[in-house]
Amino acid sequence: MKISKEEFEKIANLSALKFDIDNNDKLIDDLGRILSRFQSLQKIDTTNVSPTAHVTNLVNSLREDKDSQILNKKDVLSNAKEINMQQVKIPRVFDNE
Amino acid sequence: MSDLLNLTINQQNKLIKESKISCKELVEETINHIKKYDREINSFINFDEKSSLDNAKNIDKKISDHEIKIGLLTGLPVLLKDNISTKNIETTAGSKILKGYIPPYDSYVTEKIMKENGILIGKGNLDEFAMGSSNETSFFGNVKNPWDKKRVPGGSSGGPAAAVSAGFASYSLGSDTGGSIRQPASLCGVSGMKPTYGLVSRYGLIAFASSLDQIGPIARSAEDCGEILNVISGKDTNDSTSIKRDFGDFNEYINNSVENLKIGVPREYLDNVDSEIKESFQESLEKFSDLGAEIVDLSLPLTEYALDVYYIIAPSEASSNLSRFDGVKYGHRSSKGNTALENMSLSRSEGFGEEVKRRIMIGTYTLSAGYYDAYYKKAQQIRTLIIDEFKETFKKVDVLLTPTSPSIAFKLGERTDDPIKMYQSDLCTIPINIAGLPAISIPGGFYKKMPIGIQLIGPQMGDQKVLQFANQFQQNTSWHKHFPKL
Repeated sequence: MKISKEEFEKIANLSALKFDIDNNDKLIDDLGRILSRFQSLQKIDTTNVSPTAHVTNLVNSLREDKDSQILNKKDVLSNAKEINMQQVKIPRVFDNE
Repeated sequence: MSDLLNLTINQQNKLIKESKISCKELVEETINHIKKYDREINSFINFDEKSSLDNAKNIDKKISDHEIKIGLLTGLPVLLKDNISTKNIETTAGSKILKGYIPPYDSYVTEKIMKENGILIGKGNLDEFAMGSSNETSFFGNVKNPWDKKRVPGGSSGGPAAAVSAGFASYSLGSDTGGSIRQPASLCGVSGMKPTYGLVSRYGLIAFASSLDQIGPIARSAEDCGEILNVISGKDTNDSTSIKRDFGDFNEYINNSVENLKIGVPREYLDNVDSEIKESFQESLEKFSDLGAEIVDLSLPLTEYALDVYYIIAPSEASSNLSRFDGVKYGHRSSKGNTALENMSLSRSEGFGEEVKRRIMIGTYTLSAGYYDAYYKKAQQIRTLIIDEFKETFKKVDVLLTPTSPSIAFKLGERTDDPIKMYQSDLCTIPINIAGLPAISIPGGFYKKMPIGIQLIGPQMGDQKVLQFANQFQQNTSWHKHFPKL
């Protein structure tokens, strides 16, 4: 299976990753080889087989509806690079255009 | 190395209880040993000599003031894999993206160990985000195998396994998503156990693949593994997948004989294994046979699909879990990028290493529109079939026995160019995570002076039985009593 450069760029975009497309032939090739392997799974008949949702079959794992100790704002923000008025600051969301 | 640092938890605990050594002396000797030898082995990402010593002195004082009772883990130095959160202590998951990250809270297991007055000696090196089988993807450099420094220690818990083997800690905690505790334990000649999925809370473990990840112990005996699990397991409301065990002490039956119990040997697990590993494995089987266990040859035909099922499910979950690393609330943030989205993409691209990016790409592909049914859903359906196959098998036998790794520790750099070859290092361990089963790797022999591990697998909640077989083997062999000359 071969991954086209367009397909690779689409997946990279969905992954929020940037690659130098012209210098990543090996990665593109590796991805194709790995995805090809997965074709073997089509040999197995899975008609009427439920996909595993949870391996130990827990049902309704809920905690009691009580307030509990949570982290304070200062601790939560302690690792952020830029803070303004106790909020995380990021570059603008929309481009000028 | 002094014999002290090769003792099991029980033996070190006895010395402390009988006041033959103080916690300070044990920690001091450990520190000196680490300073002398870890420069080369590189099993630590974070090592704080002063705070370890201060903690040890503090615990000695509390003991002499009768403020605390000496428990089994009291005063013993422990290494935690660096994807286990430690409050106010840097936790990196082996990644550049988390360099400098200081968790504001402790993981569930960290809290449990601290409550027992354990001494955190440091944070263990690992493959970046626990993605790897050789500890060569760590941003903080690869770990070397203490038995032969030209070889890998296995991964992803390479640091924790190498450290226990080299005497840098009394025990360590790792995480196991597809073999990350058992495979390095096997390659470093120590005992490492992945308990039944859910028995140990994942709260505070930096997530890789949530339906497969499980924390577990690496130690110098199976008995030690059981003792550690007694401390770290338990139902935790902060992890909705955690479960309360329906049995008591993990080690309750370890002294019971395995006579007339049945060991299944699934032949598919020997298909792609080196001949030397097979030979050694046969000897282990004979040992169990001598101990009175009945050996049953059997087949698990779906085994050949497990690797592919895993390499769909694990990257899929990883691509979702790792989307939280965007440089906003924590972690590396790029200085470039004019918009938020551009800045996030650049932060991630600069912060993640090659293998992590590869797996995010695989996972994003298999989850994306148009491919979801063919890959992810199909893999989860086959997962159901694999779980059923194991269930049926455990109606016939008590445990399964397989090699842990298809080969002894390979040379550094030998498999880094070929991801598929690297992925195959976990052939024997991956199916166990897919089915949420308990399994332990214990030393079972040597080849070319390198340790060989055997893996005992039980049904879900069959952790006690796994430990019983492992301990009975160790009571009658001495493979686990060999240590590397550093």
